[in-house]
Amino acid sequence: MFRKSLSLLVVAGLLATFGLLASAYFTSTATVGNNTFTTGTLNLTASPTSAALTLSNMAPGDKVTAPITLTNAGTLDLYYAMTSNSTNGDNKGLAQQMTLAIKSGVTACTNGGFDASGTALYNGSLQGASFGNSDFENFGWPQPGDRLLTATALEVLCFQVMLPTSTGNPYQGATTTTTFTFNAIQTTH
Amino acid sequence: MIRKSLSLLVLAGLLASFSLLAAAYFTAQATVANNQFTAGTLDLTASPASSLFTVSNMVPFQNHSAPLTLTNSGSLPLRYGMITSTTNPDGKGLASQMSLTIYTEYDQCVSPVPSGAGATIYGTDPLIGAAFGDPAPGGQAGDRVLLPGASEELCFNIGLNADTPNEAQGATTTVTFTFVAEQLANNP
Repeated sequence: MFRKSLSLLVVAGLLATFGLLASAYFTSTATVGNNTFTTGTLNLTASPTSAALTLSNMAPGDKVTAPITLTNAGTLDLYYAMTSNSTNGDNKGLAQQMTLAIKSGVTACTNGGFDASGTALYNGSLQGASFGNSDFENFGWPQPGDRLLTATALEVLCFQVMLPTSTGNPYQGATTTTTFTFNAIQTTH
Repeated sequence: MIRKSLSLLVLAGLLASFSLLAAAYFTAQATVANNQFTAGTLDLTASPASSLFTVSNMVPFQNHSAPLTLTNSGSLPLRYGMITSTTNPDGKGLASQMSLTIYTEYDQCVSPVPSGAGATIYGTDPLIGAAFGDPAPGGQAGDRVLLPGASEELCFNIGLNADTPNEAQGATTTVTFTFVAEQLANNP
């Protein structure tokens, strides 16, 4: 009985010693809080969003010239490219016959001023008009023709649509409606 | 059983990785819609379209008048000119013995001579080769302008010349007047 009590005392003493040892260091905790992460925004806007160019009762040789402003309204730099789609409800193929020229940096975006300044981005048929390559994920970017627009920046593109003087009688009374689509993607990848 | 589950897990992991890659970029899109373009129409009509004259038993000195209305039935302004063709089926050359006058000013387009006749745009000159304006592209002297929806009436007066020889007796010719229109815009 006595030996058993002694053993218990020894164990208790060891535990007490270990306990004293364990509490023998000062400790401190510092925190680095409020580490905030915010994603950027990618937002390309076009102005106007509708009916930038309209021309009715066209005769061969008629043309219309108007600006479209692209604005990077987000916080991230972006690349953008353009595609277009033209209707052919009367099967006369008017969009195929019409031409489109797109320039940047045109001083006077009017019928008379279009040729005087600027850099050509597209010159060809209105049907299927495009610049750059909007299929970013399959082809990578930037591709030739893709336009860089830094955050909050804007640029004015000048569009000129024309019915060529070579247009024949089959196109009389024909109509097409065109939608220009500007696709953007973040610059970094 | 364990191996099958493991394979499924690997496959699921691959799919998850692919989804993450595919969605890994921010994109945006802006559109400019409703850009509408419509071509105009160019349509000149003549009335009557046939048989302005049907004359039989003509004799020298005889004249006949008939009004012809030209209408711009299209949506574009136009200018037009006229050319003439004649037939000579019997070889007697009747058309070469006939003359034509086209009046733009007159009170009544009656025979043998229009009343109050004033300005003319042709003649009195030979029927063969009768023309005014020029069908070639561009504006030429004598071309006449008609705005969309507008019309004008011309008075045609045809005569058999006084010196028509006997050889022309019983002769026949059929005459076609052709009016050729072109757009006024972008076509100086």
